[in-house]
Amino acid sequence: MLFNSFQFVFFFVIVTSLYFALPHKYRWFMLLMASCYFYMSFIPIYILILLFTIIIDYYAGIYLEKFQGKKRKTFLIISLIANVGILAVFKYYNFINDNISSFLGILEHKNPIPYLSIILPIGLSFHTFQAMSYTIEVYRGNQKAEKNFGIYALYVMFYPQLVAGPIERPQNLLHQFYEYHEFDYERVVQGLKLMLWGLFKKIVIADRLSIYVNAVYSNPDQHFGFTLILATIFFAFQIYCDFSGYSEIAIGSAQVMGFKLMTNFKRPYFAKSVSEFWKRWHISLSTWFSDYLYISLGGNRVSIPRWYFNLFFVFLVSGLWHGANWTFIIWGALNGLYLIFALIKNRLLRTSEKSRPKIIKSGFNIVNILITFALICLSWVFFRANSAHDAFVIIRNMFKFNMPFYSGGWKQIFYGFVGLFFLIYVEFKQEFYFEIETRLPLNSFSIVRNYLFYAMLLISIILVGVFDAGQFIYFQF
Amino acid sequence: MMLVSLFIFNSKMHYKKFTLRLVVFLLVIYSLDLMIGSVLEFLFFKQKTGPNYQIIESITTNKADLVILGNSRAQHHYNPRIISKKTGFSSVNAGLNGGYGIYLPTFQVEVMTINHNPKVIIVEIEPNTLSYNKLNYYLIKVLLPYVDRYPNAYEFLKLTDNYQKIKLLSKAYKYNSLIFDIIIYNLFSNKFAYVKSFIPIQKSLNKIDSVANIGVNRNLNTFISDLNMELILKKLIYIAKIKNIKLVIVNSPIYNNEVNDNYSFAGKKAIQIMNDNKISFWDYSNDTSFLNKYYLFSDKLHLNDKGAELFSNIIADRLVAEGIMKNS
Repeated sequence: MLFNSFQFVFFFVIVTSLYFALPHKYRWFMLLMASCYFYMSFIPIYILILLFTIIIDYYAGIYLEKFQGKKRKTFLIISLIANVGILAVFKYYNFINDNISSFLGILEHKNPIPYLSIILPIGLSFHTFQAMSYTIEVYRGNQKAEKNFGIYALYVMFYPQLVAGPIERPQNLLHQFYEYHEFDYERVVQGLKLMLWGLFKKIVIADRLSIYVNAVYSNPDQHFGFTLILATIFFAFQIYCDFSGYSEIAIGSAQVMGFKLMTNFKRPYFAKSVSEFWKRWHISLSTWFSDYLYISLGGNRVSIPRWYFNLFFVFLVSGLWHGANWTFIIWGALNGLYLIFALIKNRLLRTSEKSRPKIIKSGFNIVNILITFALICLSWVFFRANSAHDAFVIIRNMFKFNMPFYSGGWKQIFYGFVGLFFLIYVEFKQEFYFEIETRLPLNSFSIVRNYLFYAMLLISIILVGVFDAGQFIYFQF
Repeated sequence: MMLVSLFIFNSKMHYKKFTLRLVVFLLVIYSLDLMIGSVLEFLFFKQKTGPNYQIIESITTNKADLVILGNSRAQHHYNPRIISKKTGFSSVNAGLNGGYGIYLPTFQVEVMTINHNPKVIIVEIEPNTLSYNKLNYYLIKVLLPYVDRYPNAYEFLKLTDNYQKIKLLSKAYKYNSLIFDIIIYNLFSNKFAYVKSFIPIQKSLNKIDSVANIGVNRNLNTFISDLNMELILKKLIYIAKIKNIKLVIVNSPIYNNEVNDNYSFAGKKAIQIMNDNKISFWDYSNDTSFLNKYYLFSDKLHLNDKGAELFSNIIADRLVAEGIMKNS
């Protein structure tokens, strides 16, 4: 069930109404059933995979708390192997096998290992990581083991964030299932507004931009110069609006019922450096890697070469998390290299920003934002391209400016730019003018302005939205 | 106890406030939707050029004896001037670029025959396109702007998804993705020439392309029958019959055919329907006057201006020869 479908509208209204209509003690069970239905609307049988990991992690959590010493580590390892094992089979098996085949092909040998004909369970990487965060936190002693199997299952399966995050931590989410949430007008309306804004970003901006991006990226050798640059910039905003749009619908729908999910995006394209970008982009994943992998490797409390290796390794794994393809690995590696170069540059050229006049500082900020955006766009080429070969073709062709520009009929470019200008205007105001940090596009107490703004947002969805465009990009991960 | 009562009281107040404001919000939405939708409807039907106008003209003001309908192959292959000159009858090409399926000609015939019955209708169809194709259904939304004025469009639109009836409650939705066209074709109508819808393509396949294997490579096994499309074809035939219109279905030339058997199971079924109803089906997909003649094609599926001229002459001659249109 997609967030941008009518099916979801009915589902959401029914589930939310039932949630507030039911006595508190039955609410979690209703939410669990609703979440099962939500997940099973994709490929029903795959719920068994989820059930398998839920059972293992549930008991792992209990035993982690019960036992001391080496036994605890054993339970943690069993839980991690179960989770990573499922990821390995469903997500990476064919990729690894493919590479073995290529390698054996060079040696003129046939690969005897068979390929698996399987479809990747939707959102597998997300709920696996969420489940892993539970056992790790219990192991670290930061979270008590959940005794109620149903509540633990709901922690993994909570429908708003089940298939594409935000990847929650048990400390933030588990206790909320025990709390009583009354119907609060302000909270409900804020949640609904956020859902509408997310839907706008998804079907008015992301899906509209995707039409031009797909046309260009599916024939990379036929396009050059400005066409490829524009398609790449469009993709940068497409993926941002697609994913942050999803996150906002998720956070909004949870907020309506009184649940607080973590922020996943903070206007990432206003970042003044790649490291700042990663503090603003897919925050729930960045912090997951930081908390559970980077720090476990020693973080920055190691020798400088080791520190650089840790950074690079984390980004490499992050690339692999996104998909079983060399394009994602290169994308991760490139981002890791950006950070290492930035660290080296900062060590070599220490400059004091305080001494600069305000106007110079603003100028530097603008330049830094643009450079960061360009670097990120370059990495998106690998993320979006169908193969590593295509990505290199695109980068090579990007600098050939003597070829004709592909407009695709101008219509999509027109809609794309209108959507982008609106988004940038809203985010610019959020970044520099709003006094309170908010995810909402309008920060006004005027009822009339609110009514008109959100009504026009809905009308824009009706008029310019791309209906039936399909799923969110991050569902595939 | 007091705290619980306070919660309940608060919740009730909040429900009331929420319901009241939701009703107001829905009223605002309804008014805006109606207002914007009505303005767009007015401007949409005011267009005097462009692809939408081709449909509008074909169903409203068209008074031609011969009407050519279909997709881009119809639009680029049939020159109405040549056909009119040879047959002595007025003709119009109302074909439309965009890969629309059988539903568009059927809708056009259904509406145009309310006021005027042409003598002959030529529908350009590649029979394999009557097989199941997701895009076929997605593109039915081309009929959205017409549904208020011509409710029979709903018969096609309801095939797109189960929620179409709900979506159609909105007036503005009917003009979804059309704002750009409405602005351009209203403001700059003089910049877009409109020559009875026939648009000749000037470029030719070059020799290198023609040597390269650019035949129409199709895996016919992937074409699955589509009952909806078959029913629409039957409907088209039925309307022509009851309105006493001679219906000719044509599959115009393609550059190269890699497969010996041209038609999939779905394609053969479509031809069977035509044969059962004694509909003329003229198949030029293997015509040697065109096969592998790169200088007559702009790409593997479309004739260029020279090819269209030759093909229009052939069609006009055949219309006369078979007594469908007798030269006065």
